[in-house]
Amino acid sequence: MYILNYDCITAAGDGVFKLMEALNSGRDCSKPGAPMGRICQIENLERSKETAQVSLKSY
Amino acid sequence: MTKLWKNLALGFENDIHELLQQQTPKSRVALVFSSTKGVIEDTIWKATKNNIRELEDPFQCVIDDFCEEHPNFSWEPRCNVSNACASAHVACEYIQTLFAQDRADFAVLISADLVGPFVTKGFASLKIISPTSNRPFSADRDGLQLGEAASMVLFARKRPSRPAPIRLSRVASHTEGTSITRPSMNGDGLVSALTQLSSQTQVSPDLVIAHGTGTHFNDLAEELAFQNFLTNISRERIPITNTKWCIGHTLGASGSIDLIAACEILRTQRVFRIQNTQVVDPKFRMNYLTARSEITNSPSRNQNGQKQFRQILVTSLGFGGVDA
Repeated sequence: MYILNYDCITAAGDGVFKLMEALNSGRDCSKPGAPMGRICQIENLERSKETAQVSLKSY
Repeated sequence: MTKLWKNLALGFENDIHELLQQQTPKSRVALVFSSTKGVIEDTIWKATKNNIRELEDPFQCVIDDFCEEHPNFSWEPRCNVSNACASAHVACEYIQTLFAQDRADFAVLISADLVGPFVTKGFASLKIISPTSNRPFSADRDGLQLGEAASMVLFARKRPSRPAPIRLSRVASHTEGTSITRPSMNGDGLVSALTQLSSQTQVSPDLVIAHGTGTHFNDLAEELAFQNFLTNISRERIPITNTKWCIGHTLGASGSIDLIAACEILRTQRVFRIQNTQVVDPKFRMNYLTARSEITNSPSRNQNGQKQFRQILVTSLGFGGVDA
């Protein structure tokens, strides 16, 4: 089968270019956030922030 | 999540529409969604108070919402594949089956996962979240870091007319059931999946994008599987890289993200390192691209003048003992 197109949103940003830019430049996109360590969250997604807060409170 | 999908879908809708116009008007487009638990946290918490069997299937709601947002296509068949961290790989395998059975002409794979309390607590209870940073295959690796992602990949059953499409040669998976939360320690499960793969297509990778969570068990299992399988095909020096050190372990989306990264490497002929890893575990023999590895920033070619990266192997391992 054949791959015609693709797109993604990751902690590196919106789009494949941002992902590859982070990988090629050696950028670790994690930030302090998880109770035990770091987390790679999607930016500008309100739910992510809420989730992180809930996650922290629940500990 | 719907908002996230909508943003992603905007970039795809025109492309899908254009393709369908080029094909027969009756082109069938399958919709496959892959995720673990991150996008259904609300349902999980409700289920702690109610009988889960009485709750509406959350994945079905998500799929229905998506179909309503994009009414131009019939979206048949449509389903969710949730097979732990190998969900995306297994979803690709399902699409492969749909194409083989002539049940679809195109397929859209949507993969997504978010990090919430259920996911965090689950991994924390296993003590496999790194308190420092994610260093896959390193001697001092101390666990994974969780990540969020959403992705879409559009597949076609037949070779399209556009130049140089990327071909997904084959997907194979194997369920070993060794343990609920770790792979077989000797890598046998992944070897079985790779052996199955090589029985169906020629496997001669120029690069491996490994699952590489950075946990003791996962990385050991992959190392042993690669030692076993790649040595058998006389390619012990195949470079191995991965993406989780950069964007975290995106669970049900990780296989799709790695697939996208593989496509980009094939397109640009540029590879990336496992940047957080300085020194590979001394017990490991495979050729991991660490921060100290020399790589070229320009498109590279091999000794025969061919593109250096023509085939890339992407692996995934998941809870329940699934290897793909």
